[in-house]
Amino acid sequence: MVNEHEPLMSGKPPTLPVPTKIWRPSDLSEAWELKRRYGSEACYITGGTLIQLQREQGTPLAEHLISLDKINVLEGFDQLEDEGQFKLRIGALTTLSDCHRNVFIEEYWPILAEAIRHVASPAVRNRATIGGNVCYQVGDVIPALMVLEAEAVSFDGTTYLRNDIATYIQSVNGKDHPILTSITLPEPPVSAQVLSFFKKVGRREAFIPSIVTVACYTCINESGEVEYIRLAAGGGTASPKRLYESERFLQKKVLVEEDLGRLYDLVLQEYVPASDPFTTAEYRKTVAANVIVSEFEKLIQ
Amino acid sequence: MDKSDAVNVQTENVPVIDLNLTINENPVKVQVEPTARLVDILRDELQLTGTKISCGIGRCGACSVMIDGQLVNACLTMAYQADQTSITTIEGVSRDQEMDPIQKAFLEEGGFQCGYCTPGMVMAVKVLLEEVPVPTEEDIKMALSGNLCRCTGYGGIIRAVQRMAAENSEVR
Repeated sequence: MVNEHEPLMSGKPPTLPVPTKIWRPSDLSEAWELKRRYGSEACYITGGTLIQLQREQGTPLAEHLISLDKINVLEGFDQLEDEGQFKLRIGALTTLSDCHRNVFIEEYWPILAEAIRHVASPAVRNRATIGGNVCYQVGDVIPALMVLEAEAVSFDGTTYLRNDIATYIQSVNGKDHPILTSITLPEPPVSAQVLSFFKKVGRREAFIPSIVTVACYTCINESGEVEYIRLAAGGGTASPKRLYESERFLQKKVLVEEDLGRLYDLVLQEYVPASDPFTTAEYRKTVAANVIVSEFEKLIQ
Repeated sequence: MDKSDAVNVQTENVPVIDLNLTINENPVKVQVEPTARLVDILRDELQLTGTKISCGIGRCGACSVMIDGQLVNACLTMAYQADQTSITTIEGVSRDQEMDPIQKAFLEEGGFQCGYCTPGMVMAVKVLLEEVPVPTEEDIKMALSGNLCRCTGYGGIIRAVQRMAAENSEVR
């Protein structure tokens, strides 16, 4: 796991103990076989921005880097229609910049665009991929993908698996984890009123690791009742999680001022971030609860 | 040999590749390790020292260059990733000994002090103005969010870009 708070090192990278070989397979089966052959001595690489950061922080490169950049099926966007529902398939190798510029994401999934806008800088986003951000397990786009009910499609050497984002992220810790091939975004539900937001809090305004990230997608019907809600929080070195208790509390409610205190307590209770030398878990909890409650307070007003 | 397009040329156990680049419109071929950083290739192999190196992790933007028209951090780019691309460095921005208008604007608006971040800033501004000829202040701040300056407080830099935006606006 990357510790974002290690002292920054300048100059050339440390001497490599073993020369690294780069493999550039042309299809997924070949990539899978290479990883099986070299096991823990091999690592998949796409944009490589995280791997380079880790290298500078003292983690040697893997002996074998399996670059997925020649596997064309992993790139770009496809518009899909599934039982009358519009979906967008995003190849795992699609850069964050290309995602941010995509007109469909801007129109149908603006909180994903907002989340991407807060990842690193334009130059990094030109290389970093959406698949890399998910496989990082603590990437800032993950809470947005969770509340949008995005589906992770991955390849396990023989078949394609379809999982929610949280399930796929857990599988990344496994020895032979499946290769993420694409993310599918389903058309979000609509209602009389929609409250959706993505908020990132860091130690400065831009280009900073997150202290807290929060994403929400809520539908409110004509009676003012919450009829659909997805809420997720992340930040720091803990994987983002859905806040199911808070969702259950808000579901079917016509929100009034008094509910906000209970919502605040629920977020404190179920959001479990990690501490690091700069930020305690308690502080992150407080920030997450404040951000979420302030957004719902706007709704009441 | 595997059917993979493996970069696996062994020379005394150190793999090297023939890296073919177009740099500032000139074809260049160098033999380097596939995982060498582009910033080191530019500075050490090709003596293009206008591109600076500082943080090494894509946080400061001092090593910003354009690859196929896109702004990237040369410290985050490995050699094999740059193969067969067209790269523009700060040395390729000026023409016929004439400074680029962006460089002039930085000079006239006090957009630099020590100058270490300036090549990366100029590259970032060049990409911004090609995409958005008349950027808003928000556009400018977003475009420069990956370029750190520890001297100017950014005031002069933003003024320089706004001056360019005003000139572009008049032309339009």
